[in-house]
Amino acid sequence: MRRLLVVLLALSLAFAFAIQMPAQAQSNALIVAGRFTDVITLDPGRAFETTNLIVHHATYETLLNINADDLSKIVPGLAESYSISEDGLEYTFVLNPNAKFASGNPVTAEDVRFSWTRLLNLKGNPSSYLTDFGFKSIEVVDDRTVKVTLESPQPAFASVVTAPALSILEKAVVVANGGTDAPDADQTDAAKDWLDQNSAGSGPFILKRWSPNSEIVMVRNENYWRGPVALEGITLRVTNDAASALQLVARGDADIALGVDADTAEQARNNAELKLNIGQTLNLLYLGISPSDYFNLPISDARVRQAIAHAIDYDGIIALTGGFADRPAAMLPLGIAGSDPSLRYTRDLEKAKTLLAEAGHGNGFSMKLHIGGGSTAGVPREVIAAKIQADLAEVGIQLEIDQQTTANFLTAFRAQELPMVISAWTPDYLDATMWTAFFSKADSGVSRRLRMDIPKIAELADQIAAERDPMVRERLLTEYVKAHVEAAVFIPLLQEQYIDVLRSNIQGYVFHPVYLTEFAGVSK
Amino acid sequence: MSLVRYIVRRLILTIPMLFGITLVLFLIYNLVQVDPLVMIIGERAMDNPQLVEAAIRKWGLDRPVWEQYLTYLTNILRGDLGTSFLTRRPVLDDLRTHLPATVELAVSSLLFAVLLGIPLGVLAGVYFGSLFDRSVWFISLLNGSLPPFWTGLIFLFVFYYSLGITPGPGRFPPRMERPPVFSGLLTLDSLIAGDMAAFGGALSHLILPTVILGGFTLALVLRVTRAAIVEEMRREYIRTARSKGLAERLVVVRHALRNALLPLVTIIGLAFAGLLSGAVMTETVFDWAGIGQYLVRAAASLDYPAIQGGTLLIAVIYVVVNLCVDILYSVLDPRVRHG
Repeated sequence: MRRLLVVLLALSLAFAFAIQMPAQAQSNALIVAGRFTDVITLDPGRAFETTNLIVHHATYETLLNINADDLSKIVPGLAESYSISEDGLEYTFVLNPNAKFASGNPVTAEDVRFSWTRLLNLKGNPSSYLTDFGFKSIEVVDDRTVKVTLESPQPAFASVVTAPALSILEKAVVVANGGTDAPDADQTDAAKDWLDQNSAGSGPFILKRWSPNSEIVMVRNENYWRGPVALEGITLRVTNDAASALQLVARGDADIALGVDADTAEQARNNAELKLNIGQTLNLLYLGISPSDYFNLPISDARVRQAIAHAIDYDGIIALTGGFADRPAAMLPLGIAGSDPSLRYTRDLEKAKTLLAEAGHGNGFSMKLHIGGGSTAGVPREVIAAKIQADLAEVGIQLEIDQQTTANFLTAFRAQELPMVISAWTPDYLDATMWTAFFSKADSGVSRRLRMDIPKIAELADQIAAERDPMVRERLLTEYVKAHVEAAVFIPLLQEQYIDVLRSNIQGYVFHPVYLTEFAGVSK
Repeated sequence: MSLVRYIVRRLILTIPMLFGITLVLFLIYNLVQVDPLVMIIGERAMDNPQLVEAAIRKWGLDRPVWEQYLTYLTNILRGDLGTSFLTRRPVLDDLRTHLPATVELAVSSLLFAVLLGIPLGVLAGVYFGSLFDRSVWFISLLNGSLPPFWTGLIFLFVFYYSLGITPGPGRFPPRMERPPVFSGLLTLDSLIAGDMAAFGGALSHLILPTVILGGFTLALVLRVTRAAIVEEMRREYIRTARSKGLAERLVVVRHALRNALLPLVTIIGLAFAGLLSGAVMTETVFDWAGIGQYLVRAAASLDYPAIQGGTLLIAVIYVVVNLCVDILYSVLDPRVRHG
């Protein structure tokens, strides 16, 4: 029996030590740790989540681009130039003659027509990029020229063209794998499975594999028409929490940890091998207060809503994020032309009390604050809600917090049943209409959900959508922000910052508020 | 009753059970009263009536509940578990994608638990009351009562982050080329590809999650073995075996252990089914893309085709494992068949 004991001890020691960590072949590929679990498909005509933006921006290209260094400037992409007709209805794009797909074939006008027509006819969520902007038709003028006709003038259309959903796919490759742009493409297109595992684009990388909930592997496009990039490839590695992402980066098993929380960032600060990259996103967290009489609550009085806006301890909320956040004056984020931070509400309890007294609610009142799940800048909704509850209690407003699952919350919000909410908004493309179209009208967008019917704001939104002169547009936007501040229906609480942890040898990494990352210029 | 007839009877009995499970799942879902539309088409598209209507028609949400259930049942019989709201892929494909990771970890954890648990349990039982017995008992108690997500995080911090002697989270070294997919089990696929470096990589990534997940089962196996051995060693046949001069090692291994194994078969079978149905916490801590993680995400998103499909799979796993256990039992102890 003692022999068995000895053998057993030896065996367990062997188990602990015999399996050595294998020597790893060091390649020049970039390993990126992050959540990445939202991917549903990697077909640009069907995907409508977040991680797909990173993949599509690396593997495909759009006709036009907006670079992170100047969000107000539209620069050439696959199109070397574009022009807009006098009436604002026709957009003509001229392709760069050097542009080639990863296959080596040139990018032609027919590829553009095919890609956009397919997007439209797949009738999935991203088709709204075209339908929402009155897209009427697209025609091939010659090999290098396409003409798009809209039903009404849409100055935002050039910004929309930069959205990864409008990427250009190589028609021959997509068709060979079951794709079609026919009017019944939503029934007959069979290219999704292939596009989930491969790419048919002209970007600096090629999609090699997607293993759901595990990893997305891209390799360098050796045929890249602007010249091959420095990295051999990119692997997006699914990591469930920021703490293990940080461990992976610290041990060199990953090069970048994307989107970590403030606590993790503080830990990374103390490690000489790591550095932080702080990016200003355009993601807003807001308090929405319905101005409608429907709810029969004191908040239908603008003075009460202004009092609430004056009672909130904004600095305290930003402190909850570890300081990794900012805030604009209205639902138009900092970084977008016309967004003026000097118009922001600041905490002023005396003024709040005076406004409440003027409105006849000097003794306060009580109501419900509705929230869903999730978090912004690492702070869960319920924590923000508790902070607002405490702040408003100081002026006599008693809030009861009602937290639901996100699905139930959104359903009730959409059914116009919630008088006060905390919710968030994330843009899909970079134009002011991404906010003005959704926070202004009585009959559409988020403003409809809060039963907001303020004609002045709606009119300004219409003017902004139609205005082509950038100077006039910026002036209108400033007016729009002022009108929103006065109405105090949507009070921005946070504009999230995105924290990435990088190994110190990573160079050329740029955060982009829509695509999240620019990998083309990265080297290590 | 012959063994074949016994098995057939057991198989027929499983059918109403599986029906019952689908019905209960369906009723629960309809009692909860949630609106899956937001999950299907996303918040922004909810304001677009055309998209909303198209989605309602596509997913059959406008049909009466009983009709939805009948459609669901007919589809199952055709081998179609429906399409996940969340991933837009057939649930069967999703399960097939996520099952290999879970199977790999479950098998490795079970091997760990059994290969270490039975010998340790036997020794603890034989040396009942000794210092060895008491320390093994204490460790197994500790192992069985500490939550695996906590020990998982601590082990990762100590053995990976601080000491660097084990690999970190994930199933495979991040900078290594994966073997071509054949079975989805990375260790097996590496061996098939003849890639020993990849095999070592996959194996090394199994160490920590196996110790954490298998440790739980190990504690169970150890306790049951120990108790059974202690009991068997007091029986008269052991005294007989000893008195006829049999070596103590043979007394323990051939006589006591063989009889002690019977209750172990049930325990190990159920533990294996448990491991196969996905260890949610361990999978989450170790970024292990298995069934557990898949189902948690499905549940959080009210993705009921995925929840139903996954639950059905787990039910089938339990039914199959139970069946195997019973068959094994009837082979080991023929009295069971007549019971």
